[in-house]
This record gives sequence, C-alpha cells and structure tokens, in this order.
Amino acid sequence: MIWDERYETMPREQREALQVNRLRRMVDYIYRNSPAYRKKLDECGARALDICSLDDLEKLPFTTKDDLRENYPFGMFCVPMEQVVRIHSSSGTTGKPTVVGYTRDDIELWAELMARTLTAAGATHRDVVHVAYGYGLFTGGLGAHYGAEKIGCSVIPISGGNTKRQVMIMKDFGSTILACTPSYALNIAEVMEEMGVSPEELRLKSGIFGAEPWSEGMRREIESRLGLRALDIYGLSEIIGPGVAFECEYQQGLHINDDHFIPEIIDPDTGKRLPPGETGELVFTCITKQALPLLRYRTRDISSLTYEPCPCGRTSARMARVSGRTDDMLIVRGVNVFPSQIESVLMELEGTEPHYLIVVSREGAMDEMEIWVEVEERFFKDEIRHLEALSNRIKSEIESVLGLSVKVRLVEPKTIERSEGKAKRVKDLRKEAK
Amino acid sequence: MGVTQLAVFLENKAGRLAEVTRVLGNAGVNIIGFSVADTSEYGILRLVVDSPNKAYNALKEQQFTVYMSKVLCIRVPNRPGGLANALEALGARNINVEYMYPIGEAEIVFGVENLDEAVNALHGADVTILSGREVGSEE
Repeated sequence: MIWDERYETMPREQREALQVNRLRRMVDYIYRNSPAYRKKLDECGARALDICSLDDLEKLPFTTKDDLRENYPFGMFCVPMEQVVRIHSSSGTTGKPTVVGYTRDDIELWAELMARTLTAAGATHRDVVHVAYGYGLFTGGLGAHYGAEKIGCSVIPISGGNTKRQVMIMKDFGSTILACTPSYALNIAEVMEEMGVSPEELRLKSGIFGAEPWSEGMRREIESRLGLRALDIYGLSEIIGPGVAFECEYQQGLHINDDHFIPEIIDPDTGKRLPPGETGELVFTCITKQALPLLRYRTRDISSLTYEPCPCGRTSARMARVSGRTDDMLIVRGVNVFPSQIESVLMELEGTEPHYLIVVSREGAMDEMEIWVEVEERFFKDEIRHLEALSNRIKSEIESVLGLSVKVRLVEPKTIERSEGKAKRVKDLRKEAK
Repeated sequence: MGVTQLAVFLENKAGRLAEVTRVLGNAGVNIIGFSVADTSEYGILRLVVDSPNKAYNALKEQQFTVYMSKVLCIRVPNRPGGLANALEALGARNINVEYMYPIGEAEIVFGVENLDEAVNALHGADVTILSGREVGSEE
C-alpha cells in the first residue's frame, strides 16, 4: 500500500526536477536565514543560482555533527524560536547533545513521512499501532505516534519498558503493528515466551524497527518469534527523526523520502561522491524543512544507493541496510568489520552484558582479532564448563556473522575502560605499533 | 542443608588472588577453605568462609563477579576407603560430582547437581554431613 501515490510513485525524471527546484529554493532560504550557513556558503562561494542539476550539490559544503555542537543549542536554526513548536535532542553520550527543532509545518511533514512508512508496513485506519519506542527527547516515540494518528490508526503510546505489561496490552488491545527498536522486539519475544504467550495469541502483522543497526539474522528471528513481518526503518534526528527511509513489503532496501531529503554516498576519507551501488558514507540534504534544514549532512552511517525501480511501484531512491558507522569500521584480514555486528551478536546471546572490547593485533603477516567480553553475574556459576560454553557460543556466533575466526576472552567486570559514558569498543594494536 | 560457598570469577592475572584475600581480610572475613579451578585465561576461586554474606557484599563492592550457592560438605572417616564409600554412594544414585576440594583436615566440599538428593544418598555411607555451623561458617 502507498500513502501518497503522487509523490511516492512520481517518475524519476520529474522527481529529479522537483528535487533541483526545491534544493535551489532551500539554498536561498538557508543563506538568508542562517548566519552560520551564510558564512559556510560564502567560504565556498556557493549560490542558490548555481544550482541547476543534482550534480551541483557537490558545490555545497558538508555539515557535520560538530557544526551542530559548535552552534549548540539553537545556533543552526533558520527560524526564530517563536516559530519552533518542538525540540528534540540526541542523548549526547559522545559529548554535547545535538539539538533539533521543528516548526508546525515540519511536524506536519514528519507525520506525513511516518504515515508513508507505516502505510508501507500495511497500516490503515483499522490498525492498532503499538508504539514501544521511547517517548521524550528521543524522536522515535513521537515520530511513530504522529504518523500513526495521521493515518487514523488507534495508537497505543506505551513507550519502552515494563515488557510484561507490553505483552499483556498487545494481547488485550489487539495490537497489529509494533514500532520499537529491533533489540527491544527480541526482548519482547523472550518475555512472551517466559509468560507462555504464543504469537498466535497476538494479532501482530508487521513491525517497523529501527534506531539501531541490525542484521538479516535478527530479522528472521523477530519474524518467527513474534509472527509478524519485520521492516527496517531509518532516520536520524538531525534530518527529521524516523521517516527518512523505510522498507516496503519487498524488503529490498529502504525507500528514501527523497522528495524531501536528497541522499548521496561519499567516500568518507576524500568526501568525493560515489556512484550508485558503491558503499560509503550516507549524506542527506534537507530540501523542504524550515526550522533546521541541513545541507549535505554527514550521517557517518555506511550504506549504498540504488535508483532501480522497486516492484512496489515507488520510484524513490533506495538505500541498503546500514551496515555500520564510518567512525568505527575495521579491516581485519581484508574483511570489513563493524563493532555493531559484534554488539548485536552479544546482545542476542542471553546473559551477555554488552561490555566488550575488540582487540586487533598482527602476528607476523596475520591479523588477529580478540573479543574481550566482561563476565557478568547473571550467567556466572561455580563451574568452569558454564564459562567455556559461553565463550564457545560467543565465538561461533561471531565467526558465523563475520566469516572470520576470532578469539574470545572472558574478562572481569569493569576491566573494559568506560570513557565519558560510552565505552571504547576497539583497540587496534596494529596502529599503535606503527 | 549444606554449606554456603562463594565462587569468584578471576582472570589469570598476577595479584588477583591476593586482592580477593585482601578484600576479605579487610572485611574481617575468615577463610575456612578454598580451591581454584582454572583454564589458561581465567579461573574460579571457590571459598567457604565464616560469614558468607559479609564476604559476598565486600567482593561485590569491589566489583568482583560472585556466585553464591549451597554445596555439600562431609566429614570422611580417616581410614582407607573412607572417601571411596562416599563417592560410591553418590555414584550409585547417578549423582555427578562437578568438583570437590578439602577444607580442614578431612572435610571435603562437593559441588553436586542436587544437594538434597546427595545428602540423602550419603546417609548410611559412614560419613558425617556437616552444616555450615559445624565447619565454623554461618548458615
């Protein structure tokens, strides 16, 4: 099902003309309304009138998280605060939080894009949408909420936590669509099993899962354990929140709402734009927002783009499932490794507190990868064989995900350094040796 | 029934064992008996102490991973075949002994699958089953 036939299935050529038009207007708008951007645009000599095709995007400067931090909290906003009706913010675990604002029209746009997302997951006004994303400064909860209301669904704004109650409510209220993070979906599945509730007793038909990287393996697991179709959604607060891109029933990449956000893939080292199909850093330019429209925002997420038509009829560009972050990609024996892959394995394994460290070293010509995992009380017993079983399980699961042999080392709690609330995940001894 | 045992996860690093014993010493906990099971990278220190709760809290405060459980403790007669009788009684009931270690002169701690069953199995095996109090440890 398609929410907005006109825009979602607009022929590619017409879509690109729309994008160029909107982009030109946006550059002019930003130049007039944001002193911070005016300076940036002046520095690289870019003018709205220079925008004649999508290739002209390359004339525009990048925006990074640092720009937002330097202008903390509201310095990048293009409207006065009296026009801002909502503020959201990142958690700020790696420094100052990034703050984003919305005008009334921005909120309306966001609801519209989440309505597209939910419609692609089969939502109609007859559905009961169970929103277990967190409500609050995090964009997940309210984003899904407004989109579902826009469609006319019955919305259960349950937010995260108290999983037993979530299961009871899903059962009693007949929730048909679940919105939460994929790891929380697995958590719900586990609690359901403990409570002896089978998926057949629920009415769930689909779920929109995002806000963290996940794998095809996790998708299959969620689908079978919850008895629903699990769809990947993508978004980030800097761009709008959830609603930037979403999967349709074909699950062949995520449709980007590119009539509002123009995507690019760049080489994270050189900043050069990469052709369709190549993997690199995902960059978005907002072309319709009012309060905080960002130009060429570097997401640090790794993906690739395709412009091939999708069997569902939508003509938007599609992005591949995000495979990791540029900041933490490792190359071990020629294989790209993201800490997020290891993290998701550890999170899936019962009893593993996700405190881990990836130690990469070189012995002779061979890279060695060792995963340190802190042993936590929940799965510690008085027998060695429990520990051996645990480390063997971690080892074989990680090896099957990465296709690389690894060593697993169990370490004492708090062995792994915590820095500023967010743990350092990688120790690359190859770099330190150089 | 049984005796309270603490198991502590330790990496094989110099000084870790000393740290555990120092933490217990500072907390005024007396160690009645212990054993170490180890692999090349880590080990488990198993302890019977006079005040298990105090020891548990002191170790937790220092962020050690601690597992508290009940184990079987018996006094074996000091003569040939004394231990064999006990082990045969357990074996006859298919009770697997995960580990055992002596505390005191001939008092041996057993980690078993089912403590109560093991206690029953040993009645009539000519061994003395000890309570925490009898080895000088709180229940």
